[in-house]
Order: sequence, then C-alpha cells, then structure tokens
Amino acid sequence: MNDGVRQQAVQWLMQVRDQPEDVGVQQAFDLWLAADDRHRLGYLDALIAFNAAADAHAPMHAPMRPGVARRHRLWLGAAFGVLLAVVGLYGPRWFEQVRADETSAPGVARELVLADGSQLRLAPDSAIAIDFSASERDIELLRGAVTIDVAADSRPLILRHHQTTVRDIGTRFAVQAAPDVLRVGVVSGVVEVTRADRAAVRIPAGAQIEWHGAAVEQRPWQEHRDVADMLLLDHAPAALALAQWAAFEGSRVQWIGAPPSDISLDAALPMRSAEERHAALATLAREFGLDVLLDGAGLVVLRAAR
Amino acid sequence: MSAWTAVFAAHATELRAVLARVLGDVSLAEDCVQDTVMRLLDADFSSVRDPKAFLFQVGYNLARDALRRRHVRGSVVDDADAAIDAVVSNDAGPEVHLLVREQLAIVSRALAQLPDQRRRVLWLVRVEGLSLKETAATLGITAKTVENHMTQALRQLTELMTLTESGGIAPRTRRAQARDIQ
Repeated sequence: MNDGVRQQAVQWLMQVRDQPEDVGVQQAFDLWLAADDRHRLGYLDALIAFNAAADAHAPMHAPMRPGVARRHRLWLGAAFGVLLAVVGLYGPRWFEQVRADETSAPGVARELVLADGSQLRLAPDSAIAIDFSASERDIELLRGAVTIDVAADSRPLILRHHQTTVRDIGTRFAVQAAPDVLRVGVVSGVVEVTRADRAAVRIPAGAQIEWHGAAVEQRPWQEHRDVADMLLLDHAPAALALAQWAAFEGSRVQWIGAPPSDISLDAALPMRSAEERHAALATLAREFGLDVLLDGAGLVVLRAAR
Repeated sequence: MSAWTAVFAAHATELRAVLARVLGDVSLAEDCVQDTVMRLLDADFSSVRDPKAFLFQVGYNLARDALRRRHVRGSVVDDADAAIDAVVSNDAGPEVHLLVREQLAIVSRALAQLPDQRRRVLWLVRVEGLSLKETAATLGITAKTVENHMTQALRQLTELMTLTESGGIAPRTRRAQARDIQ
C-alpha cells in the first residue's frame, strides 16, 4: 500500500464521517473509491485501525488490579451483552410506543376519525404519531400499515415514514411499511411520494408503487379489507409478508442477512389459534426458503436458507 | 442460541451498508456479512469488550480479503509471486477472530504509546463520537490540529497493523513460504 493512498484514505475517513450531509463530499468520496481497488483497500485498512481504537481504549483509564479487572470485565461484559440484546431487540418498538398517539393491538385492526374529519384505518399492530398545525396535517407512520380517507381541508395532509414523504392531493390512499419495503397504493385522487433526496413520484388512482431495497415496482392497486383471523398476502415479498405475520402476533421479526427479494407470495393463511399462526410461519418459511433460527419470547429470527 | 445473535440483529444491516459502499458490490458485501455471521456464531463472546466493534472488525477484515482476491482475479497478473503474496500472506483464513483479537491488542498497546493530546483526540472522536469541530472546541484547539492528530494516529495504527500482519518478514521470504505450502 503506497503512503499516498494511505494518507488519502485516512483523510477521507475523517471527511466522510464528519460531513454526512454534504452531498458533494459524499459523491467525491464514492468517485475516489471507484477509481481504483487500491483506494478501497486503503480505506478498509483505515476503517480497521479506526474501529479497533474503540475497543482498545481501556488502557486510557487507570488500570485495575488484574484479578479485579478480570472479574469486572466478565460481569460488565455479561451485563452489557444483556443490555445490548434488550435494547437492540425491543428498543425500537418501545420508542415507537412512546412516540405514538394512536396504536392498534396485534391481530386487531382499528378505525378512527381524526380532528379534521379524515378517516383512518390502522392495520393490526400499527402505530402513528399525529401533529396537526395551522399550516399542515402531519402524520408519521411509525410501524405497520394505514389507509386514509383524507377530508377536504385547506391544509395539505402529509404522511411520513422514515425518509419517505407521501403528500396527498385530495385522495384516499394506503401505506404499508416493513423493513426495507414500502408500498403506497392510491384508491382515488393522486399522491406525491418523495424518498430521501430522490425526485418526487406521482401515483395516480388505481396504481401502487412498491420500493423494495433499490428496486421499484409499479402494479395496479387492489384494496384488501382485513379479514378477521386471516393473513392476506397480496404479491408480498418476504420482508412484507413476515411483517404482516408478526402484526398478528405482536412479535418482532429480526433478519440475519437480507430477506430474499426474488419471490412474492399471494396467500390467505388462517391465524385463529397459536397452532395456525405457527403453521402460517412454517408455510412462509418454506415458500420463501427461510431458516427460522429462533421463535419465542416475542422474537422471530430469520435467515435466508443457503 | 449464540450470544452473538442479538449483536447481528442490531448491527448486521449497518455493516452490510458500509461494506456495500466500500466494496462497490452489494452481493460481495452480503457474502462478507454472511461470512462474518458464520465465523462469529461459535466465537467466545464473554471476553469481547465491545461486541459491535468486534463484529465490524471481523467484517472489515473479511471484506479486505475478499477485495484482494477480486483484485488479483480481475487483474492481468504479470508477477505470479505478487499474486501469491496478495492472496496467501494476507488472507485472514478461518481464524479471522484471532486476527481481530491480535489487532485489538496491537492497537491497545500502540495507544498507550501515543502522546497524551493525540490519545485524547482519538478518544473523543472515536469513542465519544464527537465531530472534529466539537473535539476542537472541547480541547480548546483548532479543528485543523484535531484533523492532524487523527490523521497521524490512524496512519500510525494502520502501518503498525500492516507491519504486524505481514509478520515483519520481507516479501521474498513470504513468497518462498507460499511456495513451500504448495
């Protein structure tokens, strides 16, 4: 590795980390990486050194006696591991619950009328935060899926989910979210969807757009009313199907590796009892080619079978 | 169920995104993440101080090996010795977590040798997560000085690890070793 590349890699590491919002810096960095594999190697060397510094900082503090230090490390390591697991697995859901103004229970859809007269239908195990002001009606979809009949009002209605904004233009529309999947269907009127820094997309009545990782798929919109105790899948990729399944249980689905994206499933699976829900999970795992690594304590850990 | 499962669950997505960007290849990044998971599932968890840092360290090392192999395969190899060198002497192999432990130990020792101010800068930036400007304000120095400290510190650590991984042995000797293996 030549010294020039090593120096550049370290400087890029600092810049990219320090200026995440600077599109120019980020693009220039990507171009530098793409110019030569030696740049990529140099950058990985810099990352390895930078990352190692986080773990190896203990000597900066006053050293403890070796026996005490070892016992402390064991206990602290165990406590940290437990804390990390709890926060990592349940933290996001707890955070959603705290922020939510309206939620629906696992397995139960819920209909409500907002202050402006808009009618809103929350799919099972969904959560939203509502913020109506004098200039706009803002709804954030924190989890799950929602269908909105927007009441006429001078203020625009804006639905947000992560970095996506759905802006209605007099309409009835539905938004369904799962990790790495977002589906927006329009029943009447038009909505405009903006994702992160990409150009806005207009979706007309009768159409549906699904963002799945980097892929975008447009299909005709077909509205499905939830049927009690039945999991209805409409051309659902694995991430969305398992999110819908989990909404019946109130479970959290955790993927190890990326969910498979090459299969979509149409299905109606009964979910009337624990046995049927378990059988539905087994069916989904089989159809999508998944290994179920854990199913218990409100958590399902999945991995695409090799 | 491995104690690592919760760590994978919390951080695999971020690791995949970082590797995809650095490698410029989503599938290769995915392979590296899967490889990281498989290799760590049975690794000793109790002695790891920072599981996330450890996970990323293994991932970065595997990505570097994958990139070296791709680089060698994709290039016109004029020097067969150089190709052997690139693949054989640097491949982390199945015991990548041992290599990572060694790297962490090296950095731990190296940090103790850094000048106090440089060590403080590295701590604030890496561990406290401060920006260069915030670090400068905290220490009452300029952002440029902070950047210089970081650049020097990381260069030292990078060179030290590279030297240690190569065993401080001259390239000619390593090529001879590679031939012996064959």
